[in-house]
Amino acid sequence: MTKDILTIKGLNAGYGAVPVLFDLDLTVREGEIVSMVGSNGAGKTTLLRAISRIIPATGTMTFDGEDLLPLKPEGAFSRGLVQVPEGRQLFGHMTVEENMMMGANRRRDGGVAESFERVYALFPKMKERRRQLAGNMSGGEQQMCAMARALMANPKLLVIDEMSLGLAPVIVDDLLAILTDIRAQGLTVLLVEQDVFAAFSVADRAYVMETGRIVREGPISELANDPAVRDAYLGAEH
Amino acid sequence: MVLAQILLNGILLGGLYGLMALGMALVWGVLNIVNLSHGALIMLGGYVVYYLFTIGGIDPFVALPIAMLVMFAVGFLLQYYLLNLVVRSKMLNTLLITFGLDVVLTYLAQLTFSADFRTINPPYAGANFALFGLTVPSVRLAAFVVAIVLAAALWFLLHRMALGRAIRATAQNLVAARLYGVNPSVLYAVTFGIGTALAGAAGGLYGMIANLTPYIGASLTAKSFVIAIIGGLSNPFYVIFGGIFVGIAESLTALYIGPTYSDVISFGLLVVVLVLRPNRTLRTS
Repeated sequence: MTKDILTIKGLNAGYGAVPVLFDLDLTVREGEIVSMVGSNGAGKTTLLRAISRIIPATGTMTFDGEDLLPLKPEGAFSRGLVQVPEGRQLFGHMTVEENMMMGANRRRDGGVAESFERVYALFPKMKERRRQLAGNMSGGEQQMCAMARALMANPKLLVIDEMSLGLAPVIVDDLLAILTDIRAQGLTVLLVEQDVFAAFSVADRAYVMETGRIVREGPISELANDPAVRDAYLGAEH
Repeated sequence: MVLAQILLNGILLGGLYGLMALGMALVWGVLNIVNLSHGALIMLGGYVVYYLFTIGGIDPFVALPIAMLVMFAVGFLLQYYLLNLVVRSKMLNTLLITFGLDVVLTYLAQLTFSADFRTINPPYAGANFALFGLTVPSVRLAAFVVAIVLAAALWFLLHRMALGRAIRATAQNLVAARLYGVNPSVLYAVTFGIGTALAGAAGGLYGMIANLTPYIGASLTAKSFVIAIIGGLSNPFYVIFGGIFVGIAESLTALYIGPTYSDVISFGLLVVVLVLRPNRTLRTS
């Protein structure tokens, strides 16, 4: 069995006095795509904020053998835990290239030029648009730019929040294909999605989250056939 | 010829005005703080250069970078321990705290430096040379050149260096900047430090051209405010142009209407700019 890159046990987190996540367990192993699905308000984004160390949390979180809890956001980032936030959150008045350079913000390893080449190979369109302001591009291109920016950080774990949100299905398919390419290069991905079809089409395993708790988990083949999951998320015709 | 001389004086003075506003525009654009103590920091920078010159015997232009370092430290600490409490909060909070800071700095300066007029008076203070029949005061020309050089340096920092990219990124999207390894409280402190260092340089140059007293801060804050709005917050060179614009307008007013009206003109220009181009003004980097 491959090693765990992210291990979460008994995680509780929330905003001030309002708890959102309850006793949550989650494991991501090296080289796999794990998806976290659940409807609006299930606590997915809160989980990501806790993982990125933006909000306080209790329980245990280990990333690549290191305790994640005492780290600050920039500490988690520089250790290779990199997030593509919901809604892209690009630096809109900066060029695509500058956005990507912000991804490599904390790198001192001298491999930035090589990363540029690798990421441009994955996203040829970003190479064409590298001098354009990120804020002037279409939604799909912005999502690509956000993913390109994250890859520039040379992540050990790429966490993607709502990749498909607000994008046309054909563009989502493109992005999923790129995700498969990224995984083929050995990258580990945690994909947080409302679009269960999209998530299940690329992931190896998935967790189903409802009101701050994990209610189902397992390999996609198992979950896709689980009657409860099918009824709630995949619709009757499946 | 008189007109050409007045225009030259206005341009040279305007460069310094632009430099005064540069730090204020930077802090405003990135931290969303309209720093009412900016003029007091200019004043403080003036005194630092004054004492480096009178006590330390250091040439004021050599003292400028030293004063900038000192003022950077002052600005960094102010932001890190005080102003970070109100950064990106309601405008009223930032106005209140920086107004308070202005009062504190002004009266601390009065206690420490006394209310006497001071001038930084190097041996070459009165030197000038003739060019195309115009008289060019050497110190003012040098101050103008320093202003341009510092604006260029700021532009280079913001657009060509990793630190500047992080500063702009944070101004544009705080959420993403935090996710991408920026520690906002440190970055804000560095940004405010840079703004204060620029104010310090402006203060040193101001002290070579006009009198330093602890009370110059308020009017310099007002002038910087006007120029920051006219020049916009997006590009250091626009701020310098804004300064030159105001400098020329003030010089012409002093000649044709009367020196007492020059403040009327700079604030009048502010009103005109706000009416004509309300959207352009507050665009950030």
